[in-house]
Amino acid sequence: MNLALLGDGMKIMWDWRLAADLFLGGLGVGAFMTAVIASYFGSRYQRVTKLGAYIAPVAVALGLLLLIWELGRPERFLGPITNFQLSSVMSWGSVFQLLFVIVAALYALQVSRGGEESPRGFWGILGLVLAVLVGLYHGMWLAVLVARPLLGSALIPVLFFTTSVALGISAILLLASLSGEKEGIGQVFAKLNKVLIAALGASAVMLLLHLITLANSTLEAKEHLALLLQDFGGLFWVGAVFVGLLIPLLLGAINAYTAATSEGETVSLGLPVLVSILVLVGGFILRYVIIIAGQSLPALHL
Amino acid sequence: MAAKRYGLLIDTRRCIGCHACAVSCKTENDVPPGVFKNHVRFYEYGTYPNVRRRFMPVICNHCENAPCVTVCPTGASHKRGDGIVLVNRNTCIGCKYCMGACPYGARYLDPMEKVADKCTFCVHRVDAGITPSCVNTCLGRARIFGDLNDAESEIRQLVDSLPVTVLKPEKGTQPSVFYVDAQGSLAVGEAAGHPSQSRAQGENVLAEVGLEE
Repeated sequence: MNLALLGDGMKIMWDWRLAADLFLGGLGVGAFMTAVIASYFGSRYQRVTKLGAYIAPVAVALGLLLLIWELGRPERFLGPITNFQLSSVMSWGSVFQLLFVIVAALYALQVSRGGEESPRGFWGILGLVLAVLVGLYHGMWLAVLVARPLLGSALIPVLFFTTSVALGISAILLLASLSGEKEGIGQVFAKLNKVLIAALGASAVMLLLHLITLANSTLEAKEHLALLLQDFGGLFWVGAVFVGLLIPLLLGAINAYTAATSEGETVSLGLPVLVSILVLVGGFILRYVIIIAGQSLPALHL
Repeated sequence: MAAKRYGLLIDTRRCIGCHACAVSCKTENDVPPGVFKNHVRFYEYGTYPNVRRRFMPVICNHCENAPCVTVCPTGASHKRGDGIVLVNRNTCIGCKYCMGACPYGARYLDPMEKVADKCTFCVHRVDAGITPSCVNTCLGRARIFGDLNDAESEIRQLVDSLPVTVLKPEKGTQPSVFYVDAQGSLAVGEAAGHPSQSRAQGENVLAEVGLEE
């Protein structure tokens, strides 16, 4: 049975697979946006574009597979498209995601064929638009759930979007530093690091605003907030906030400082690798706790 | 004549907590083990020896503005012209989105068929001109079923004359299930809740369902 009971009357409908889908999906669209935008900054960023283009369709498709596995009737997964519903955010999202995976795969093919000019053009721009839509959809899927105050907020799509950008950049940074070829990587990392800091900073602000709003909202919202901050407090504070946001922000700032002060191209890769891993781990935990705590109705679910 | 709008009035003052409605619902609708389309919650409050137990029957509210219908990506969750909210078992994909959207926890995933399910107002009985099973079986006559759009119906007259409430009105769902004295059932008194009750049940129950504050 999929209805696990968590304490008194708290039904868990969606498990880690939904969190993993939103994680991989966010990572994928974040990587795609980074890839396309980077392609307009010169040949120095070719590797970023390549990595991002390869990561995107694989990550998003993998996430979708997990989501389909999470369905009660996985064999009916095309239902949201074949029985499209205008009023349903999920119907729209299913279309966006399907289109995105196709376009991202075509883009990856185009990029793999090489040439500096190849990543710029129709498929990249179309994919970028779809990536933004899918990136916003992840949070919108949750934001329309009026029954769940932790999820039903317009801040959630923004939070998920900014963390998606951070996840995508981190995935690219990690893979780029693990693969050989260190030539000219310093400047590229410095630039990505700046965007990462901005995305993490924006995410931290969105999360803080969400918590403050909940703390000043209805009793039901306060119940959910207490659930997140107390019952899931360890995961939330240590995993999502410190590991996923604050420590990478601090390390990213140190990284930016040393990059700015050190001359030349020789840049230590240890710090970017560490920051990437922290962002990826914390980003998953953030999605996981928000979804698990957020879907629980207060003990009295009337 | 206006279209029908079926509704249910639950008079908690008349509920004795016998759970007959839950049992008759189970048998009438072949509800699998572990899940309920209709059940009776109970709340204990007070300090020994001044304690009370009150009952709160809960089912799908068949909302006018049903969030489960709005979010459903396949149209499986739909609303009939007479206000009854149903799930098409042939098109439901089991995404549980409707369960997340429902503020009342009225839905569950059918553990056998893995599709969303919930109270149907015994639509097969209503269409045949008889009352839902829970209404038929309620020995305290705590449940009144009928057409809210019919001025002559018992439910319409009771809803108009009694101080009725709905659950979580602030969600804007406009339920078709009305309660008499839900406050009494949900009141927790001056003392802390029963040890088995959680934080919310012990303290904030009234406000939780939108009946206070």
